[in-house]
Amino acid sequence: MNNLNETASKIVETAMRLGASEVTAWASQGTWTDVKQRDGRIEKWQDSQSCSASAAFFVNDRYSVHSTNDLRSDALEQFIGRAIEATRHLEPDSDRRLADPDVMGTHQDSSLDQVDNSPPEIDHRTWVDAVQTATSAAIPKNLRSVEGFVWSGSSEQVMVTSNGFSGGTATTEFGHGADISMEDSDGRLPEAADWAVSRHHSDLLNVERISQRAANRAKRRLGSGPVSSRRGAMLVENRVASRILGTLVSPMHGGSIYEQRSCLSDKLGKQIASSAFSLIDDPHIPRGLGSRPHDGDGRPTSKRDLVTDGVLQTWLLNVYYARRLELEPTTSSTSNLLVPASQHSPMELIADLPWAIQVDGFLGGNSNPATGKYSFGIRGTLYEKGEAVAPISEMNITGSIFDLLAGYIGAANDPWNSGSCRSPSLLFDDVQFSGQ
Amino acid sequence: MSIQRPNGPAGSYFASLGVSTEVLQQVLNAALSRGGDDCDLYFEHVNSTSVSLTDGKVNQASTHVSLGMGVRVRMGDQVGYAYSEDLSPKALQTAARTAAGIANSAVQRKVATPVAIDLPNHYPVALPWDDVGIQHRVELVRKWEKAAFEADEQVQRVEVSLADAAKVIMVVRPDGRLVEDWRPMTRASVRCTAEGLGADGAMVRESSGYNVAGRAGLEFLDDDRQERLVNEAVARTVFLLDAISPSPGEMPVVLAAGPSAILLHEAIGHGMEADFNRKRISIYADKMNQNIANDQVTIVDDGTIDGARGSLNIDDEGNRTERTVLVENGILRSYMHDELSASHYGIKPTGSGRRQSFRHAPLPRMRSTVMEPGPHDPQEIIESVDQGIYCVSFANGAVHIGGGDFSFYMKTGYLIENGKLTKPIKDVNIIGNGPEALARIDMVGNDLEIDEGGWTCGKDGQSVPVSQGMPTVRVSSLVVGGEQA
Repeated sequence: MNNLNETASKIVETAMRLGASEVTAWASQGTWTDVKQRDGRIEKWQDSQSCSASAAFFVNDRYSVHSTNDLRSDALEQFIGRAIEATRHLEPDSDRRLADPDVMGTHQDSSLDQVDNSPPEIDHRTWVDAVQTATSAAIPKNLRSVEGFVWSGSSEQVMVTSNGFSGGTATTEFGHGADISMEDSDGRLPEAADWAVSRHHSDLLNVERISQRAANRAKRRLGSGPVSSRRGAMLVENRVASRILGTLVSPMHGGSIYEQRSCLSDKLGKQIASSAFSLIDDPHIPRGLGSRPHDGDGRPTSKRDLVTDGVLQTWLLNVYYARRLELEPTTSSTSNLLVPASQHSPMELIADLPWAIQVDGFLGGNSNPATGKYSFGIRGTLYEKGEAVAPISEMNITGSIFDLLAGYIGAANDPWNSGSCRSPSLLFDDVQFSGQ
Repeated sequence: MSIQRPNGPAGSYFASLGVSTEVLQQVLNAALSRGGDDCDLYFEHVNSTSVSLTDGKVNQASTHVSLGMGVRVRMGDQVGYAYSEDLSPKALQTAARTAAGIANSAVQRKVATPVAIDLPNHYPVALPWDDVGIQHRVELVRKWEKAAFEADEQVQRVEVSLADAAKVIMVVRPDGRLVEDWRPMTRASVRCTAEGLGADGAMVRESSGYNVAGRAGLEFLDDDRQERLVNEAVARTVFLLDAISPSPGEMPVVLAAGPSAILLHEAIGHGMEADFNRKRISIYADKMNQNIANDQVTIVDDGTIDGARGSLNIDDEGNRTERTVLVENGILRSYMHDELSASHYGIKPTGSGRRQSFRHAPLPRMRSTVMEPGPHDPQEIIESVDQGIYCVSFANGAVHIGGGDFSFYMKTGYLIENGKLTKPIKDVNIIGNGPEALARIDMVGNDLEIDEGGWTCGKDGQSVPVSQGMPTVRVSSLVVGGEQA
């Protein structure tokens, strides 16, 4: 961390000396080991060590951003000099300046607990072999191939501004999982993957459970295809709910609002979803993969309601767009997204429905932040009265995010914790599926 | 602020950063110190610049520099990989010894003295960006903004960006091969937000745009292309205002010439990358020399198209790129190979080994994926459809290479009713199965067009620039997203 502070401070100092009026500098480094093993043999072993720096320069109301990993002294000085010179040729924008020092700072609570200070000694070779072997063993038939993968690493980042802010974050990360290819009776080789990630090694879902989960997922892929086009219930599995929530979060950003290409620009304080739906951004979850003490503007983070009982509470405004829109800044981007969970398992949620399609994967598709329309390819399983009746692939869902959220019924009890979108499985009604 | 084309002999660029022939040999020896079968050193220096305009002001610029070396050691199908961002001899050797850890054999291969190899030049540049100041970039961006507002009064907001990049790469191999390549890139994008009457008579707001990219300098942005960049951006945005969603379900789909080749990229391209076949997990793994498409269908992956975004003089493993015929008159002919898969199959690599940067090991990747023209007039193809859709522009696509299901997102198109293009449609995902979709291509047009858009392909966490092209084709049936009116 000391080296990083030195690098960032040096960038600030050099840039101020060469004519910048204000500067933010970031420096980061990371160390990673990734290992993959397919069907009994190590396939790839990668050790990575990287270090890079980036900076935002404010020169007489003009603004530019830069990044480099060439940190040799003379190269860095030359890089900064040219970057500042180029910035002078831009057009002025008086809202481009640092946040005021009195609103800058870092969330002081050390309970974010982002670093595992005493991980066990890791033998990646033994670890990846355990994951791959257990997964292969859990699939007695129709198996084509299994690739197990494991990784561990740590990273650090510091941010320093010319008006006195200095903050740092450090994280560790451990992950493992498997990619599986099955043999279908018609020659197709459907694939499935599952994985787990954590900040602390002791929190990682154990090898047996992750391999079992991956294997079960793979077995469900056999014999899939489209069913007829229909409208009705969709249960979105926890780990892919980020696709749906992302469609809502993307138009919340200040840039989209300011540029008038957001379907949420006239929706602040309005009902945009069923009253059962709430969405929270919580940067302070201990060991959370999206937790952070300060945001990109150097402002301390705080927990924030984005949608409460279906009503849009806020936009995601960094300092710049807040100035442009003459509003108070909130935060530049989301950290850990939460949807309140219930007491019910995903299967309990759909047990009484005549039919529901559980979506466990999206394939391509996109959404239009200006209108809220979306259309995604899906994979999953058709359930009738809670019984799995057909594996689904090659179908689309299409509609408007507002109609989708209006049809939101509720969440299950299974928040996903291997990502920053910690959503449980979500149930929606009246969704348009297209198929045969 | 761009990297000039080096004018010294190959190898001299990185030699000037301290990487002498002697150092190269030491690093190669370190990489093979545990007896690997083969290795490669990949040096890279990238410099990119962009300027952008929002809200009437050219008020943001960015530059990016990246420098480093990646070293890969191979032992059979096994790969050890490490990289260094520090080009000092000591740091390079440390990375090489780390990558060497994959191997464990007493026999050490001999390292030959590196000898530079001459390359073809598929990206001749007339007006290099390193001669162009930031002010000229600002003027161009301003000009496009003004033209976009003038093109249609429904345009409310315009965002523009102009980016250029150049990288110098050097690949060194123990067999003595040393290649150095300078790779330029120019990309421009215009995005508009427009307000106007929707199909239901209410006011609506829409946002869309157009972008162009190629391995070229400033000359890429000739007057015609600048005009098309602006006009297409405006037209594609205004088009959306009164466009509707088609009815959902299976139907015939006609794909317009050009960017529709996203179908090739997803439905067959990825499945033909030989790593998936070497691992026997591609749906095409057991189909070599079999008939997989109508005999009108010939598909190539070409690294040699002058100035194309996906072109390369040499691949990232130091192998010549080429025009690889994947499907010839409906018959599967070749996968796309990198060094690893080629040695697995005992054939020559096809020059398809690519990587995002020195931080990544190379993989078989597409370059420019193109369907050759067929016999039909495009109008005849449209007229052949009673009820279906005609797809004009696309946002993105995806594929599962084993299951074969793939999808692509249509941004704009038209309904086809009784052989005629009728209502404008927008924003639907289209999904199918690769081999089935190929078999259902039953008409191929005579109007091949290579798309000029800035496509980027992602695989295994690595992004690389690609191109694609196709004539008008008819697919007899695909599952189209949409809403019941």
